[in-house]
Amino acid sequence: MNARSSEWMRKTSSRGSLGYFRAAFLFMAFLVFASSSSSAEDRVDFEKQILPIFEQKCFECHSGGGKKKPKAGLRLDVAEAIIKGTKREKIIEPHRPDESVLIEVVSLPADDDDLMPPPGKGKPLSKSEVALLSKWVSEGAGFSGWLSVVQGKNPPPPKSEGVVRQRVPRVSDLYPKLVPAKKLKAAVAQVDGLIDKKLKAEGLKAFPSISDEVFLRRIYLDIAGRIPTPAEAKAFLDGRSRNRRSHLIDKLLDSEAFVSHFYNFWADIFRVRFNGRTSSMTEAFARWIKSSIRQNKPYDKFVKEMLSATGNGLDNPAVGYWYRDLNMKVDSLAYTAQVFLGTQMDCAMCHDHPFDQWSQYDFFQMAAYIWDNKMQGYVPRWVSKKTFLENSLRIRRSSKEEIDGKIVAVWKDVPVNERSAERKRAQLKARYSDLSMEEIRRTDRTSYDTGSYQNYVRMWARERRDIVKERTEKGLYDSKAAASADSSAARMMEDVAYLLGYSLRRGEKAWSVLPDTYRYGNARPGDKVLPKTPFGQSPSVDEKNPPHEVFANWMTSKKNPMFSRVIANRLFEYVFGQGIYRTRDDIKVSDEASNPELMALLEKRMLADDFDMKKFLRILYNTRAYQRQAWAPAPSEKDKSRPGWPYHYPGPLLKRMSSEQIWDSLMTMIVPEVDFRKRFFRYGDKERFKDLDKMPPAELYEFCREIIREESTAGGKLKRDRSEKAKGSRKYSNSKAGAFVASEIHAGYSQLLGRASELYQPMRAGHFLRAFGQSDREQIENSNRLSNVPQNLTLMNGFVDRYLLSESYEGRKGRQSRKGAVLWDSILAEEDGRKRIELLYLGILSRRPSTDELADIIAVADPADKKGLGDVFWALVNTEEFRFVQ
Amino acid sequence: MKNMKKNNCNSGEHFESFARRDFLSVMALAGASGSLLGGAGSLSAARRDEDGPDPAGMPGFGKAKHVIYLMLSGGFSHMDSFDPRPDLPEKARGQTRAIDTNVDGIRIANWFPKLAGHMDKIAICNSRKSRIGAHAKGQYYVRTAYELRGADKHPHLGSWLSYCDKTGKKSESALPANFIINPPSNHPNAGWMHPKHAPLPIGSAQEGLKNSKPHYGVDSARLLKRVNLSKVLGESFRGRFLNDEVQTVSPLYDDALAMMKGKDLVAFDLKKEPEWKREAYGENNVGQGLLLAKRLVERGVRHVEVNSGGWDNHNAIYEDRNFPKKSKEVDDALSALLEDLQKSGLLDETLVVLTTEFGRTPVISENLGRNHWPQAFSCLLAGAGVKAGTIFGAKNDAGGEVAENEVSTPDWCATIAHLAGLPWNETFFSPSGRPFKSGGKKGQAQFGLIA
Repeated sequence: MNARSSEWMRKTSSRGSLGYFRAAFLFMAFLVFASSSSSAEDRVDFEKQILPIFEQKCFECHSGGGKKKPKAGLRLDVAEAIIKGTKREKIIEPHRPDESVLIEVVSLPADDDDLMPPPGKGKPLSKSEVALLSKWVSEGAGFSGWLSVVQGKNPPPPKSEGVVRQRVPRVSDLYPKLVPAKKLKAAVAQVDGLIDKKLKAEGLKAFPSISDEVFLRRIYLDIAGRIPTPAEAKAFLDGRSRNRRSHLIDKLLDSEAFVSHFYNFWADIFRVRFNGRTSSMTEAFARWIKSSIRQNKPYDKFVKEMLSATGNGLDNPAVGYWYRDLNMKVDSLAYTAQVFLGTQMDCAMCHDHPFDQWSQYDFFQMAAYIWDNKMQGYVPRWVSKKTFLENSLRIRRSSKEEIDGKIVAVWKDVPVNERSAERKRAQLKARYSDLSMEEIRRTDRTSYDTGSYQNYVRMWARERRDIVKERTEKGLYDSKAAASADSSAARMMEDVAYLLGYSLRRGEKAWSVLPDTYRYGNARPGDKVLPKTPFGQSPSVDEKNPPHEVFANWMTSKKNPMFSRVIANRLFEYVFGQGIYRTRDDIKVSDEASNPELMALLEKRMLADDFDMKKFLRILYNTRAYQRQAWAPAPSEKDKSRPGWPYHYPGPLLKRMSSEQIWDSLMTMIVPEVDFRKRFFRYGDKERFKDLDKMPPAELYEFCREIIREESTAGGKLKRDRSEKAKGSRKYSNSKAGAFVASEIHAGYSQLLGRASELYQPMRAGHFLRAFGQSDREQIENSNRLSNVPQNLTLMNGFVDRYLLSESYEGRKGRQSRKGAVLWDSILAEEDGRKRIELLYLGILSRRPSTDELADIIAVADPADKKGLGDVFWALVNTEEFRFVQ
Repeated sequence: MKNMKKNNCNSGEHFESFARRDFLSVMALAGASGSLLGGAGSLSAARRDEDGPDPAGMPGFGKAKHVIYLMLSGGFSHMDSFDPRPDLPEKARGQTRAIDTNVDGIRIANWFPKLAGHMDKIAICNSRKSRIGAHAKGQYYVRTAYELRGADKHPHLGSWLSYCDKTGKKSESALPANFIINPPSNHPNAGWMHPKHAPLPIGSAQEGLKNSKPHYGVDSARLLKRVNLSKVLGESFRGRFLNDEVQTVSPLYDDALAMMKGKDLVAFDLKKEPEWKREAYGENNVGQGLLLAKRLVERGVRHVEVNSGGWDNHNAIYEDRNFPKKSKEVDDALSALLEDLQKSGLLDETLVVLTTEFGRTPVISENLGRNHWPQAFSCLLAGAGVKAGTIFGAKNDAGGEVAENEVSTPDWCATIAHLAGLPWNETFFSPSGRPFKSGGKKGQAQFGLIA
């Protein structure tokens, strides 16, 4: 906005200037009175009489569609915008012309700075024009159906194809020739070159390089998501190889620890949340994300598999992406646009985006690609569709009878008799009395399609659980274990019902339907909208190319500039702490990259390396820029040099560890081989479960019992593991935290101890992870790194003593042994006092203590004394140095 | 004149962290202020006259010494709560009936039978309207009175109360002024204010303030020794990184120690309440949350938000585990709270708010649920300064649009701010020099809700 129009706003909004023009008002009021009394019948017609005035005198500065933004945010070419007024205030008070800013500013004296149109920009309005405006306002400033210049009164065809609108921010084409990623050094130098060039241009100095110790800790936390163990730290610090930093980067990127940490990053973006009864489905999705990372699946493929997924969670876990927003396709599309296109369209779900270019119509055009997504139950293969339909007209009843001392359920299909059928029909009618027949059919089908299979199996499984309960009460089971196995099997059946029963089906319909609240002139509520992508070439949808696939292909195409830009910027931010664009998922057309050349290079990099995320990260971690001191100025320096956007990367940003990084780092001190402690998942072996839908309930139940039996024998260790809770750990216990795959090395550790990625997603509110800011997974990237008192209390009064300072002990007389924390055990095993402290520093702060520190500590604590040493341990974990990633 | 006011309200302190979101607010300095506010010139010359009259002289101002803020996240269906429409077709009214309350002429939904007996303490607002129909942005809007637009971070109401607390220190209690129970991850917290104004999060009311007692075998002397040792060992790191984010950690240890020592820890022990009372509030997040809120308010805490999720009833809204279950929780808990507060006399100085980010469609969807509906919905106020036993505003016949006395989200925030004694007409400046008001840019307190 230029100075003139802001001037305009400021002055006109000041009520103080009103009095000055009272004379003009009186005169106008007279005119109004005169004109309205002379032609009381003739109301002013907005379109015929007022619009031409606007068009002639105001549109140059106050309309949309042109190259320039409307001044003061005021548009006079759209009814709604006229009502809304400027960014600051309304310009019209219906029925009160003398309180309307619009009338005021057009009737100012010719020498007033605030006169509209501004002197030099156009002729002032004539007196009769002012009077007409004033009359129109006094009549209530109605539009009688007129909507906007573009839309007029009658809906013209939706958005003409001829209008070319720029929808994607342009990017510099000034990048140098790309060096192949194979030549790592040269590729890294290219990135460094552009960062240094920008720093120089801005007159900034790069920060000094970091020491090996700082690098070690930073790279472990950034790639592996945890601090190194003392052994890992020593291996690096004592290494002599010239390329040891580069080697460590490669080693970590290929490690299982990277999978865990990078998963947390995506889980926050995809809002991975295990939800009660359907959690196996989401677990399958979480596992799929991990395995995609493990395979280093190219980003485009990764996304395409999600966007085009169909089927159930067992066959194709990628459907979990859509399953997250079951039956909320509008929302899930808005999320999709935000995550992959970096554009926030959620406003456009309900109305045209007020600050961006998206119209509601645009949104529904895009929605058309996925409108026919349905999460549906399906008819299992063991029953024909016909039988199934017939079944739905029967009432199923079961009764429990005791046969030979056993309680057995007897199932009967009772055909619906005429009277009850009549009643049912009447109920249906009453329930949907206001619906059209077509709607009834639709509603009925929906309730038939979703959930019928689940309901059927679930009903069966619940009965079964009741039976188990009754049998237990009657003492018909030989052992408790047998009873609980049976009831687990019944529960598993329900699980299976969901896993198979919710299946993502894609219809052939390729249109969306405008909501009832649609109120723009180019279409009506309930209209069908054909698919069109918000920018780029809209690929056509036909029989061979179903809409969801077309959409997935368009999205992940190398020709979609936003797709590669968003991921390049996102990963750059992941490494440096701040993206080259101001935001990572709200990039508007008007936004510019802080370093356009660098952005262009990174995008090209992403495309040339076929969306290989590891290759990309590898280059960034190897840069000199990354291996510089972190940026964290004092408040006093802020005025001159505070970090903000644009940030030019004299070094990466200092960050508090994420919640998961803190937790995982603590786990590193407790559990050996912590990266290999894996969550147990029953349905991991797909082959084994693929035919479940062929089994009628009774057979399925037997199958489930079989599985449960196997698990309880094979997982004997696991079972013991589970019952072995560390003393006093009940506060932390979460029955849903889950079980881990049994392994020799991990036996004896509490089931609550494992990397964040292997625990329940997300952990319940109040858990350590949540206290430190783990996302509740309700919104995209919802985690935070704030500090507060409960966090400190957690580290002060429980965690350290309970877990970090726990010692191994051998149980006597067949009682369980307990495994202590690895770091503490290893420190106690060390006899030399100085070495103990060195180990403490290596294990907690990933460096050796300085001579001063060593002296400080020995002055206050005797390293031979367990208690004193424990206090030092506690003190180090509670330092800022532990919590922050330098 | 403006400067004087600034000093009153702690605005000298600020917090600028390096977290990504804060970056954005820094950036906003350069870009957005120009376009939204008409140039930097208008920033320094604040317009008191434009801010409107001083609310302190108006009815109800500052009546509430405490605020208990129940936030129903996900979108609370007005058709099934405080604006039932029994005469509309079933497709609109759903399975909801209207029942009489203890105030003649006010009828509410059958899901709130107990609350119906407390209507004489309540003012229903049936003309709430929001501009935003998406959860994250809508929740942000109702908590802060500002729209979430990437750049700025705004404080929520409780932080405003803490920020503008002229009494300074929170009485003798070591408890902070501001709490949130069941905090959602996207809570705006203190926004641009110093983090000390952020609410203290309580993950679950039943668990209270966890880890507030020293670990077994660690006496307070040893704990103090540990803390001191930690401060000594951390000195060099703190000396190198002088940003607020690092510097804020260490004082939080002192706060934690003070809280551990204070007498008010007992507030978190819900077992101190008789069992029948705990049951009356309900053994769930809302019930125990409000019970804890009451106990905190009794000890002088100014603002407690209790967040309740699970109101996003897109599917099968009348299925037992959905709306009927959730509404019963609210019915039990809120009724128990109002009764409790009245008995102890605290209701005269405590404002109870029930709010949500938006309503739900007035028509049942094909998934037998209701979708998002910001156009018109209902909320309520009770207690201090509230025009009890009334309905303010109305929707049209279909229940889908506001027909009279529209209360926008900033208006709603300003009304609560007014009752809580915040100068909602007054502009305060963030460290980056941007102007903000506790009731949003344009919010106006609605005196139809105020006695």
